[in-house]
This record gives sequence, structure tokens and C-alpha cells, in this order.
Amino acid sequence: MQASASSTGLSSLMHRPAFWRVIFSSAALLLLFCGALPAQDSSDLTDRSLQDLMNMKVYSASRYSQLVSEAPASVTVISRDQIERGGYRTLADILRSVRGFYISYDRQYSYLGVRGFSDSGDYNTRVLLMVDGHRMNDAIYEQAMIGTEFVLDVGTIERVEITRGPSSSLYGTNAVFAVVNVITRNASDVSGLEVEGGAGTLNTYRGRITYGGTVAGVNALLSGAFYGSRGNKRLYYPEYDSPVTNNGIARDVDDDQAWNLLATLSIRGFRFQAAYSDRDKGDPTGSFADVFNNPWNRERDARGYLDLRYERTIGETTLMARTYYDRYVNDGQFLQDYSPDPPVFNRDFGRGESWGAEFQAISTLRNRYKVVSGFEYRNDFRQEMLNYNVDPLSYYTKSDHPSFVAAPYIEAEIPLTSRLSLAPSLRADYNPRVNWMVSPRAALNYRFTDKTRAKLIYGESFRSPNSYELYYLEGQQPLHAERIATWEGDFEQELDSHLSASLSAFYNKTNHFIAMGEDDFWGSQFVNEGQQKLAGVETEMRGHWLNGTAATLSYSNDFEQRDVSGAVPENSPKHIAKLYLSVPVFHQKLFATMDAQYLSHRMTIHDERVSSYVVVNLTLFGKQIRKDLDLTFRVDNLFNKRYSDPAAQQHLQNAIPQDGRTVSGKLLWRFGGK
Amino acid sequence: MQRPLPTGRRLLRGKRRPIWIQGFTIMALLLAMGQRAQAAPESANEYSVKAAFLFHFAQLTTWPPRIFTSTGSPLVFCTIGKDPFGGVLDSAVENKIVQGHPAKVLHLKQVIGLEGCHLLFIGTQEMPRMPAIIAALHGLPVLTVGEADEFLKQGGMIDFRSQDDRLRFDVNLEAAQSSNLAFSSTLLSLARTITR
Repeated sequence: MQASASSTGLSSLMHRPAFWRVIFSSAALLLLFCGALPAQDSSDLTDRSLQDLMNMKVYSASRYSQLVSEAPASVTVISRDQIERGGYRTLADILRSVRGFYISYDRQYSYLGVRGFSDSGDYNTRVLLMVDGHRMNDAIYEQAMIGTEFVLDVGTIERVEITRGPSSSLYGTNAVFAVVNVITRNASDVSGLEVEGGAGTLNTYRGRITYGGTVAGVNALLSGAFYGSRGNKRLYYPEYDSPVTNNGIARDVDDDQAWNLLATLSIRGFRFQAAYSDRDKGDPTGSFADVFNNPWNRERDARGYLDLRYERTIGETTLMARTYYDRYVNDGQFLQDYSPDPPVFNRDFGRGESWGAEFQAISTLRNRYKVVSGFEYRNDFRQEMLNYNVDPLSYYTKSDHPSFVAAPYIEAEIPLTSRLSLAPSLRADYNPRVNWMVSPRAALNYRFTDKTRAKLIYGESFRSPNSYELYYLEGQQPLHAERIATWEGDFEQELDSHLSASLSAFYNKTNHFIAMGEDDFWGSQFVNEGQQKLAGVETEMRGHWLNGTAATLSYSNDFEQRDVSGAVPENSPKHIAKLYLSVPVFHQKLFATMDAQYLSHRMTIHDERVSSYVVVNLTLFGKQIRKDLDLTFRVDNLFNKRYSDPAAQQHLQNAIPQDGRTVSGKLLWRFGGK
Repeated sequence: MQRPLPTGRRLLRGKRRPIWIQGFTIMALLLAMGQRAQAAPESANEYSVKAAFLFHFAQLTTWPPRIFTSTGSPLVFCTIGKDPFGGVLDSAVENKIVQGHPAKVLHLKQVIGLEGCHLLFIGTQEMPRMPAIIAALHGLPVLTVGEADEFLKQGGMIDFRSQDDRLRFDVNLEAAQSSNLAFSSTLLSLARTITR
């Protein structure tokens, strides 16, 4: 790793697909040899050294390990250890490291691509984002916000559980290509006070204070964080290169400010959680025909919720009841270009509010069949959208169409033989906009040995047209729900105590795909376009050694990519390769971590190519370098690679250039507690 | 956030290529590896591994010499309440010699007779009884090992932690020292965190 940091020859090498081919082949060969080594066999574990024991995988009845190997889906868990060592600062950073995922950024929001899907103009509506099981996709745009606009600071995340494939059979709409569940830290994990401060290039500052402890018998976690960045002082967009638009230079309009609060209180079976975040971002791209290079063009997103739940176990049954309130406000202001007429100040306002309740019972029948059944009701009682020019006052959009969802669901785990089990699940959603939507899923899980597992999954998921798609644009015709059928096969193999490998193959077919129609400008509408097909394979090898070294190598190939017209969909790379390598350079105190991503070329909506790239990030993490002090130093885009992400319909640009090399550091102090 | 769009969505005309060979090469390699590697039994039941850990902890802890009346007196491993090991601990350590003493296992039902133990395992289920246990031990040289989140905070000495499906442990050195127990440097060097 240090070699790669100092060698510039390697950087150019890494841009060649051949390089990755060699890496993969040699890794595969290495694994072959490891697999061929004679296995140590000893039934008496006390003969093993403590080091050996520490390296041994343990299987237990804990939910965590069940989730990964027995879940009726392909699951990845990113632990706090990985987050700390990787120096990740946003949820988008974390997800960027996940097999098959890719992130696009248009200097407004971060967009998550999963299994070759990241439609330009889509606001992450085919991914369900949750915090501790609480739905985060808002009530209007149903957007999963994952960048600095995400509701939590990364410092309060314990782990991130990623379930690929359809999960509408448990969670309803949006759970199409993946579910991302962010688990927050416990009060006892923090145990005392944590104070974090950091700074980086682009005039970026961050801070966080978190308290975890027991106050009057209540386990409390309280956290507050802020983030501020001036952003790029100068961004050049050749599409705007004209004297009227400042020769294509956007100066000092890339700033980003965010703050958030989190409180989790638990006592006995009760848990109350409140979260709130507010982000204000300048738009340097001049999107939506705004006056280019103007600091008035800003988007503000505020997201918050309250969630109260109660859990109790009676005999073989665990009961859960919860109720919640959600709020999302989007406030945008823009100076719109009507040249040669003078510009007009436009405001865009969205407010979504919901409340809901859920009951769930998890029981084991006849000591054999695990059954999860429940009922969820969510009332999106406010779905207000306004778009108007301020002077003279004229409305383009003024709508508020409340809606609701009522959905019973059931999931079971049925052991068929000692090795084979079946996990069927079914959910029926009633939503007045689309009536009943029934989502089934069935997963067969076969255990060849303790080390080898295979899963076969078929599932159907759906996405209801959201308020934005139905009511924002003038003259919008009614829309059907989008329906997605998925076939998936997973194969997991533990090679030895250090190494494991997995392989997934998937096939997704989307019917009634909802996207922007072909009409121009104000007359544009959302339509159910037709069929989209994506199929691919994903492979991953993970290593974990006693000295603290951890490595993950993954490769994804989408071999079938067809959008509604039979062409390759936009923003869909055929190949994605990733490497995460973390080594302790000084005892268990200082870790050096490299995470690298390769994406093959992508097409834009204007049918042009955005070239492939390799981006390498390097992080040094000092864990308890002094008793109560952690230190993180991170270089993003180490080799200063110039690359771009495809732009969307609202952009004049074909692609949005991304940041070059940036550097950041942070310090974390712990007071009190353990 | 999202306002009417200045341009319509264009349909794309991309090139389609035949199915890529490399994906299958890798798949084949993985499958080949799968066939080779089935024999390695490097995972085990959680409590079998924990039992082996306890055996090592006992090897790497120094008790005050006076508590062993003779070299032949046993070194006693205890569990309290329902035995979370389900008999695994008994089979793992019995008939073994620890620091010159024959190992023995006792399963206590109540917080009585703790002074007869050298090592006491307190499972998650027994955490409500933790304050009573700590009070009963009252500085006796008994190595307490647990597995719950709050174990060290409540006065326990070694706490099993699970990380990436592997077992780690945290050490509360202060609690051990105040009970006149000393840990070897090997044990301390493998601990994930040490509270002093």
C-alpha cells in the first residue's frame, strides 16, 4: 500500500482494465492455493492458541450473523471498524465501497447506483433507506438522501446493513433494488462524551459532540454535528463558456452547510428516537435553466422524525409496536434565466408530513417454523408542493394530495430438510393511488456444508408513482405503479478462517418503468415507459487476518443492459471493480487503508460517453494514539484523477466533473466512560 | 428541489455486446475454489470457542498463591444460573491441568458459594444478578468473565465481544487488580481494549 502511494507508475497502470484483470486472476489463484492447503483438524479447541481462537469464525443465534448467511437475500454489512479505518465521512462514502454500488454527484445530491441502475433524473427512489428500521425516503419525492443531506453524522453510525434485491414483500414501495438500513450506535457503545473536530481542503470543517450514558435509569444517546464547506472556489463548465455567463466559470457557488441532531432514549422495552437534519447547498451547475454563476441558486432540505417503539418477548413470541411522525421540507430558491428578458426569482417549496403505526409479531411455531407477521399503516397527510415566480407572482405548481398506505405482511422460515430451508414472504399494500399491490418473495437456502451455501431467490417488488411524479408537472396524466420481477442466485463459500468468497447472479425486469417523457420543457410529463432489463454477476472475496489486516476485492459485470428502447441505459457502467485493503502499520494503533473503485464508461442522456475511471483514496487511522484520542487523515482521489458523472435532464452539461485530490483530517476525543 | 425540466429525455442508442466472458471465468474460478476448500473446519460453535478461551484465560492469570492450599487442589471454573455452555465447558476443561492444578467445573444455581470459584462466567441471561454477584465477591480473587455490553462497567474483568463474527475480548484491569489478580502480557496484548 505504501508502495502504491509513492509509485506514480502504478497509478497509470491502474487505469488499464488489464491491470485489474491481472489483480483478479492472481487473487483467484491465491485463493485456489489457500483452499488446497491441508486443513487443521482438532476437535479439542483448548489445544489451539488464543490467537487461533480469535481468528475462528463463531456462529451463534445472534441476529447479526443470521442476517448475513441466512437472510433470504444477498447482504453486506459495513461495520463501524470499517467506517473508522476507511475514514468515510458520509453515507455516500460508505456505500461507494459496497460491491456493485456506485455513486454519482451533481453538486446537489448524491445518487446511488445499484446493479447497473441509476437513471439520470431519478432521486434514489428505487432504493429504500432506513435508520434503525425507520423509513427515510420522504413523502413527496421519496428520495433516499445519502450525501451531506443524510439525516445522521457518520460518527453516530454503528453499522450499515445492505440487502440487495427486492424487499417490497416486507417494506412496500421503493424497496426495489436494495434496502439500506443504517443502525445507530448504542448509548453503551459511546459510554461518555465524544468530541470530534475536523478540517480539510475546500475550506471544509466539521464537528460533532456525542454523549452516551445512563441518566436516571434511561439509556441516552445524544448527538449533534455540523458540516460546512466553501466548496470549489472555481468550477469551469465549457457548456457555459460565453461572456454572458462568466466564460463558464462558477465562482464561489459550491458551498455546502449541514447540521443534524439525534436523540435515542431507551428504558426497558421502550425506545424513543428523534432525528433532525438541515442542509443548505449552493448550485454551481446552473441546472433547471437558472442564471449561471449566481449565489442565489440554493436548495435546502430539512428532514426529521420521531419514532417510539415498544418491544416485549412473551414465551416464544416477540411483539413490537411502534408509532412515528415524519417531516420533510425542501426549500429551493433560484434566479431563472429568461434572457433576453430580465431574470425572475423562482421558489420551489415542498413539505411532506406523515404519521404511521406498525405492529409486528415474531414467533416460533412448534420449535421449527419462524413466522414474522405484521401490519403497517402510514398516512402521508401532507404532500404540499409549490413552485412560483415571486414577482410577478405566478404559480406553476400548487398541489397537496394526501395519501395513505395500509399493508399487512407475513414472512416465514421453513426448514424443509436439515440442509434446505424456504423463506417465503408476502405483503399487500393498499394505496388509493394504485389500489392493491401484492409483493411476493421466496428464497431457497441450501447449506452444502458449514462453509458453503447457496440461495435462490425470486421476488416481485413495486414502486407507486410518488407525489412529485403525479402532481408536480402541469397536465400530468395518471400513472401506473412500476413493477419489478427479480431472479437471483447467490453462492457463498468460506475458504478458510481468513478468506471467504461470494458470487451472485441477478436478473431484473422492470415493467411500466416511470421516467420523464420525451416532451420538451414545460410540456414535459412522467410516463410509464415500458420494459427495462438488467442482468449481471457480482463476485467478492473477503479476507480478515489476525494481525488486523482486512481486504475486500469485488467485481461486478452487468452483461445485459437494456432500457425501454433496447439501448444501454444511461449512467450504467458495465464493469465495476473495488478494492478495500486495510493494514495495521503500527501494532493495532495505526491503520493504513486504501479503497479504490474502478467504473467502466457510462452513457449520458445525450448519448455520449463518460469515460471510465479508477479513483484511489487513502486513509491513515490512529486508534487511541493517546489513551482517549483517535486521529484520522484521509486523501480522496490520491492520484488526482479527472473524472465526471453523467448529468441529468435539468443540466445543460453532458457530465458533471468531480473533485480532484482533496485532503482532510479529524481528531476524536473521548471523555469518561470506559 | 425538482422543477420542470428544460429538455426532454432522449432515447439512447447504445451498442449491445455479447455476454462477457470474463464474468464467467471468475465464476468458474470461484466454483473451483469452492470445491477445493470444503474441508477446512475453521468455524465453530460460539460456546465451544468461549470455553477454550476460558481455559486460556485461566492459564494466563495469576492468582494470589495463598488461595491454593496445595498443588493438588483444583482450579475451579464456575457458571451461574442456566449453563450457557450446555455442558461444553465441562468436556473442554475437565481432566486438564491448569498451572499445575486439575481443572474442575461447577454450575452454581444461586449467588452462593462463589468463594469456591477461581473463574466465574456470567452469561447475558444473568446480568440482572450482576450487582448481587459483585457484592458477594467483594474483592475475592475470582476472575469474572462475561459477554454483555455493560459487563465491564458493572465491575466485570474480561468481556467477550463479537466482531466480524469473531470473538474478541475487553479487559478491565482495574477490577482485576483490586481483586489481587494479575494478567500475563500475552493476555493483555490480545485484548481489544484495556480499562486501567
